[in-house]
Amino acid sequence: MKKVEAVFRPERLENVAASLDAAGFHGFTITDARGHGRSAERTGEWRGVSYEMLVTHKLAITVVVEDGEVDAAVAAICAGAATGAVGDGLVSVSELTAVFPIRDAQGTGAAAPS
Amino acid sequence: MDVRPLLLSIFTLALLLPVMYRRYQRRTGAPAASYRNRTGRLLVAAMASLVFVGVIGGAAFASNGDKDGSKTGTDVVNLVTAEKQADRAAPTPEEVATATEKNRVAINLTWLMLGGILVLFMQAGFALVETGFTRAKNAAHTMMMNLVIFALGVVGWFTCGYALMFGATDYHGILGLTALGSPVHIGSWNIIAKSGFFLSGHAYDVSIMAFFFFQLVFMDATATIPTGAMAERWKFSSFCVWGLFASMLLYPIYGNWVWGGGFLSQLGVLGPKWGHGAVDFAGSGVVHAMGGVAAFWGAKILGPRVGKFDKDGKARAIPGHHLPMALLGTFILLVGWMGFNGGSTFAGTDFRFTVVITNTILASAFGCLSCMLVMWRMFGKPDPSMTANGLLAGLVAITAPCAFVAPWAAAVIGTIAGVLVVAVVLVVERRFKVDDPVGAVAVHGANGLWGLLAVGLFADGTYGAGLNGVAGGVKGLFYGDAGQLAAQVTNMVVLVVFCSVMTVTFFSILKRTVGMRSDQDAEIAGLDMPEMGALAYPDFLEAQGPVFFPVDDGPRADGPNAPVSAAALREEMVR
Repeated sequence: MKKVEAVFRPERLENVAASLDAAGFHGFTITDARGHGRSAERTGEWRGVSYEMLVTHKLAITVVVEDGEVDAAVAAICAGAATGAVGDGLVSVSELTAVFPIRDAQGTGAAAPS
Repeated sequence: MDVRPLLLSIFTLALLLPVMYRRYQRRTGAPAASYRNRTGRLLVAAMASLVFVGVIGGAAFASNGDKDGSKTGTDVVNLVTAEKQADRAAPTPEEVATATEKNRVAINLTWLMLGGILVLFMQAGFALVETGFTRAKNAAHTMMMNLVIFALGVVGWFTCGYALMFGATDYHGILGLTALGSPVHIGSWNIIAKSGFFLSGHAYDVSIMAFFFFQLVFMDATATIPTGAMAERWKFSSFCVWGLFASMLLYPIYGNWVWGGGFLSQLGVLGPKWGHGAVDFAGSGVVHAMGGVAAFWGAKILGPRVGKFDKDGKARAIPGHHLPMALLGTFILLVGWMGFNGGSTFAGTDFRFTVVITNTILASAFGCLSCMLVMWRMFGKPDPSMTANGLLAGLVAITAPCAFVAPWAAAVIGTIAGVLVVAVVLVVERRFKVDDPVGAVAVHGANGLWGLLAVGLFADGTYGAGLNGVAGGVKGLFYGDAGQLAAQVTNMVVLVVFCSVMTVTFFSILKRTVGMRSDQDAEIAGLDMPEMGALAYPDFLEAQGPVFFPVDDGPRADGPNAPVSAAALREEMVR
């Protein structure tokens, strides 16, 4: 079981969600994030002085998948999130040891991996 | 139209309904209507509806209302006593004249109070503009300054501000307002008034109260202007002292010279006979330039915000946290300004107020657009915060000339104001290295002075007959009176010198006694918790934008991934 996490542009949320849903991943978690990368993505103007947006608003999405589904999930996220410009974000995959659905785990006494 | 037959037939129909149903039921054998079944309930509902329609319809068509307004206000019993009417005696000319005069003063007082109420709401506009243009971490502090300056101003104005400024003012002809006492004078030159402290004695008077209130809200505008330029770093206790100083001394003394019968207004009748003396219709100078010049010295003595200028003295952008708030504040100021300028005729019977308000609107729109176009051209974007400043700059600049100039001149004055505000914002920040987060110096200071000058250039002689005791309308240079321009320039020089001396002295003393600057750690963390004990937005602090400035320490001895030292970061921010 793997955890696929991606940080991406907030305006791509609808595409990422639709893309994951189409690929058969119907459950995920969205969190707010702020990111700073190698270069400023946008330049602002304030009262005649320009400034670089060094920390920008991002969204992070977390999907829990079976080992064999990792490639499909990553591909779905990338398809939804990519714009081709600097600041598209990144996807990371990590090992999961257990997942407990909160509703079912109570009272069973057992850690029941899904 | 007599609706009684119609009503009668509707109500009869309602009463006949059950009878008609009874006949129908007998003929067809349908179930009898009762309160328990559907038919019965329907019948009751239909009857109630008919009665309801009858009552509402009757009210709508009844002819006893005064629909065209021709009958209201014709009941002369209010003017001619019932006995006289019984005697068929006509009202005496004195009675008619008294009633007319009462009405005239009533219209003027109502207009004055309405204007004052609109100006009072400008405090909300100032608060929103200043808070929107500054950062979320100081929002409670900035709002609080704008709230408390109102209260401090009222106290100072009540104590001695009004007495020093208007104690010798007479507007008997317009408002029934008579002078409370004679001014302090040197020869024929009036220096200051001195009557009406705490609104005591003869000042307990309906006309005086109206004038006190109207002038109070103007003073509060002056007092609140520097809070924007000095926002995000001004120690709150120190700011409180300013509120009293501005309302008790700074504003009233200069204000007396222009509006209270003081020497600047006497330049036309005494002295060099310069036009009508110093003319400032609604306060480009008295209110705005005073606030703007004070804001400049305050911000200069207070020093820039931490992180505003880099090591080389180059200005950095510190974006405000809430543009919609700031632009809403700008709209509120725009609406309030209709009372600010329009109300300054002191008289709803002075029809010139329509010209005043229209000129004000014209200048604001042209100022807004010219500023937007300049910013767009110079920096590539129309820049919302500067465009809002441009609109306000047009308003400030037209405040002195609004009653004396033609509409085309109002448009020109506004257009120049919009360009001037950009130039002064850049000069204040880049040349003088003064940190003015909201542009108060450019909007109020520079454009207040420009408004004073504009009277001396564009006044067209159609208004202001008898103003400051000089016959004939106010004429500027372009209409043949260079003397008026001389009076205006004198006024500008006196204003800048007086305000500079007063505020530099005041702020220097303040700095050495109470202290002016917030604790630096508090400033970096945000003033809300350390100074106010409450966050403006406990749940919504966002880390986004230029939240840090990359530190270039040169190559580091301990490898590329070593963390930046706290000392280096701090040094960078403080410069």
